[in-house]
Amino acid sequence: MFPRAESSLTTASALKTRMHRRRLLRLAAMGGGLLATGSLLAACGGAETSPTAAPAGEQPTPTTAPAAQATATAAPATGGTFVIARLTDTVTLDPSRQYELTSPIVVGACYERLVTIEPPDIKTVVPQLAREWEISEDVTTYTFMLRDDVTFASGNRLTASDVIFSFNRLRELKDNPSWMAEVISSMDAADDHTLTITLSEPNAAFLAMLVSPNFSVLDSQVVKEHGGTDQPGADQSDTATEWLNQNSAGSGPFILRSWVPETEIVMERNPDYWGDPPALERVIIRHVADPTTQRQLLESGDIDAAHNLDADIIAELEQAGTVNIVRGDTLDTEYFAMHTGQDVGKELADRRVRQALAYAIDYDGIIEQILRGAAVRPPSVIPAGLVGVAEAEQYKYVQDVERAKALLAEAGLADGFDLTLTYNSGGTEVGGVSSEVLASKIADDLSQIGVRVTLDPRAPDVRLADYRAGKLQCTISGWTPDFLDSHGWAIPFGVPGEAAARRVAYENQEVAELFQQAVRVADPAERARLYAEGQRLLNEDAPFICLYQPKAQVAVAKSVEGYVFNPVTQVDVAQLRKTS
Amino acid sequence: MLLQFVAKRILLSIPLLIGITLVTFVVSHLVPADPLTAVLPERAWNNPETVQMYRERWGLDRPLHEQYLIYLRNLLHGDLGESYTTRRPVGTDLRLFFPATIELAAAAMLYAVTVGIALGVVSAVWSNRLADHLARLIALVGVSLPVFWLGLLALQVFYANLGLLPGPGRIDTRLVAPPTRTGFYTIDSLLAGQFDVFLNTLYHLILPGIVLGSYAMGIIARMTRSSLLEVLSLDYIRTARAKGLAEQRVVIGHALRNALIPTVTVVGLTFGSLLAGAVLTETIFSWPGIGRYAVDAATKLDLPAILGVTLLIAVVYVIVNLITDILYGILDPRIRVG
Repeated sequence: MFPRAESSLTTASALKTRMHRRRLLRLAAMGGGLLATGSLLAACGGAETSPTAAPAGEQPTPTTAPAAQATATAAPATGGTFVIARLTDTVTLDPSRQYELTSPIVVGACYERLVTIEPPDIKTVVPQLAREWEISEDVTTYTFMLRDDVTFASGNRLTASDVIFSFNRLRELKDNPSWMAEVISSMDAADDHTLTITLSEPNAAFLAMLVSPNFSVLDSQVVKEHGGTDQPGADQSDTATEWLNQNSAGSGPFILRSWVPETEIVMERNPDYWGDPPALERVIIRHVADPTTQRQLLESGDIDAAHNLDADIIAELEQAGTVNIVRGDTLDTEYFAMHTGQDVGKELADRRVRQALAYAIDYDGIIEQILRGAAVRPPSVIPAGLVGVAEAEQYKYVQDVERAKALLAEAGLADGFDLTLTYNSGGTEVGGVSSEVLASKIADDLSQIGVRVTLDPRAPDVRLADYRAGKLQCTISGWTPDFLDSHGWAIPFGVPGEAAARRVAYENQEVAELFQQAVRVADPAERARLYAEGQRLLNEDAPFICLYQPKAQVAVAKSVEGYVFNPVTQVDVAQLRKTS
Repeated sequence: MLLQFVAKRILLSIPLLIGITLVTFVVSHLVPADPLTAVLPERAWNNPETVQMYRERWGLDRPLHEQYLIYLRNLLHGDLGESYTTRRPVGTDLRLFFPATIELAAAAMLYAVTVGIALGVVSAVWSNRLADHLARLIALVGVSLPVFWLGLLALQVFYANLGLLPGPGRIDTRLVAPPTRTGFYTIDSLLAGQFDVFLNTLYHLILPGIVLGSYAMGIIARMTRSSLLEVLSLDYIRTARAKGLAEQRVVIGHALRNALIPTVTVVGLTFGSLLAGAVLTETIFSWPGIGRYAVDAATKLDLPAILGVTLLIAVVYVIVNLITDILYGILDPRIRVG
């Protein structure tokens, strides 16, 4: 397909150059002296033949002419470059340190993992670097048979020792994602392509955890050459991150070319990729903070995908029909947290009162009015699509104002009571919903059953700190996924003293035991049963009520094919192609 | 004489800068939140090893006064500390983001000074005639329009609707930034011999430059008009005219030079505010500059970054004021520096 694509590239760039000259002439006519000089120089410089502005790639790519905007009249964008506009949050592109939302796009494309998923199915783990695997009956020993035909972009062959290095380094860096590797107690390579991982305790979620970009396999030789180490003390002695921020050391279909913070991340095709080569020559992730600007860029043809459009813009674009909207389920959940302790929760310490509040909220209204329908609602804080969630559907709260009033009366609060609802002042919740709007909606719903709500906006960091310290009577908060298994939610929300449960002083040993047991059994049906039962009890106690699970909505140019939302890496860029 | 003056002014600014760090440091700590809350993700926050690693790495485990003294000591060695959010040295961040802002502010200033002075002169020379009314209207519009509105409108009209000028960003979305040497795309692209990128950079400066510079343009136009009108009514101008000098030489050669002194003050002051106030323009035009960096730092309680930006802006103000004072002397030799 490449020869054909390249010939069309040439036509496109020639058209653009003509377009470009016309625009320059128009500008010159507007009377800018500087511009006039510039246009003459550009014309003499021969824009058609000037080399690309990119750092020297393996193959010369046609340049994009300066100032050339692909407007409605211009030819389709240069075939090989795909531009994503995104509110980037990149702190590092070191796979073992990154823990943000943009970096997985890059790490996902430049590195590979033992196993992966094929969205929209996020429950089935499929092979990537591992051909197949065996899991012991007690879900403590995982044995992986690695592919023997994988080479890194450097040309080095990938062996089990690279996997061991990568996972050890992840743990020893003691950085944000390091906790994920702490479940590993030992790793042994029987030969270059057989790896046995033994866990410190049974963990049926481990395979799903390995899908996470943090478990990417790095080229140990290259990383060591640049100061990397997997030895204890790596948090002090490892110096490879600076290099890994600008280069990649993986086996993936793309290579990281450069990262300019708050500006752009550039990836190019790995010419020696061991698998099927990707269609795109280059992918640029461009930092664009403003949704309106992202829309203008997309409609002008300057970008191919816009990641951060709000619900209103999506609705307008959908009506105009000029671009395609790609949707997919995120694993983010927004929930309403109620403190269960007497001192902080006050009236909420009574379970019937918490249930009453859960029955009073107009969930459909939140999703239809505030999110314009772009959300689903799982029965509990565990997102839809994961093990044991569909099985718990019957335990979901639906609005029932009469029942809510009856429960309040039963608790001796027929005349209502005063409640303080704390939220992020000027903040946004998951799904891009304004914290103010959501808090007001809930306050309004609760007033239907006689609860007098005082809205208490606090600076987001202050609210989070107070919530973590267990000082809030009730609040709205979001949770983003760590890995693709219900275990990632069940423990923090269901086990006393864990991250979320602690904040509302929630303790129910029965729930804790069910959730802890669910990760110790291998059988998916049994796991689902345990999670469903745990969620039934959790919902009965009602310390956390899920409000919604937003859908991701990405606007892509009509010329784009193969765009699928991936809850782990946002999008698999190796699947993308552009038609001209 | 001049050297002595400059040296004295620089020495005098040192206590000022130290005072600024102290005030910023104290004020930032009045916010009742742990900076780690803002930067560590949920599950990592639960891992005591990670929390401890970061506390030690950033010296947050020490008492407040000790933290401040350590900061000052490092500052003397040119070390501004590590940003909590970007995990890079603040010095690196400033070198990364400041050139973009300077480039933008320079474009804005070029527009503001040339157009502003030209409008002011037109206004004063044809005072109370149609040209004056038009020029004053333009100046008034420049001063009164909010930057965010003007920016959005300009992008919608000139980029999205007409396609005359490029969209947001320092270069076209499909171009790759020139290899970083100075951080100024205009200079880096020339150094790399990428002439197409250089031109592209210039086009991308036009719209945000005009938007950011419009306020300063209006001020400069009004200031030039009023001071030129005043000077034109003075005796020496009447003398010049009586000598039979061409009106053009009277205005440009005799009057304007004296009339520009208040304008220079305004230019100096507005340049500083352009740097500190570029945040709206930078957001609208996806410009990776210091304004956006500062806002991010403030919302995340990123203390080293907040201190770094504050110091940088303070230093710029000191330098701009110094240059302004020296320019007085050049414009009017009767004004002595010292």
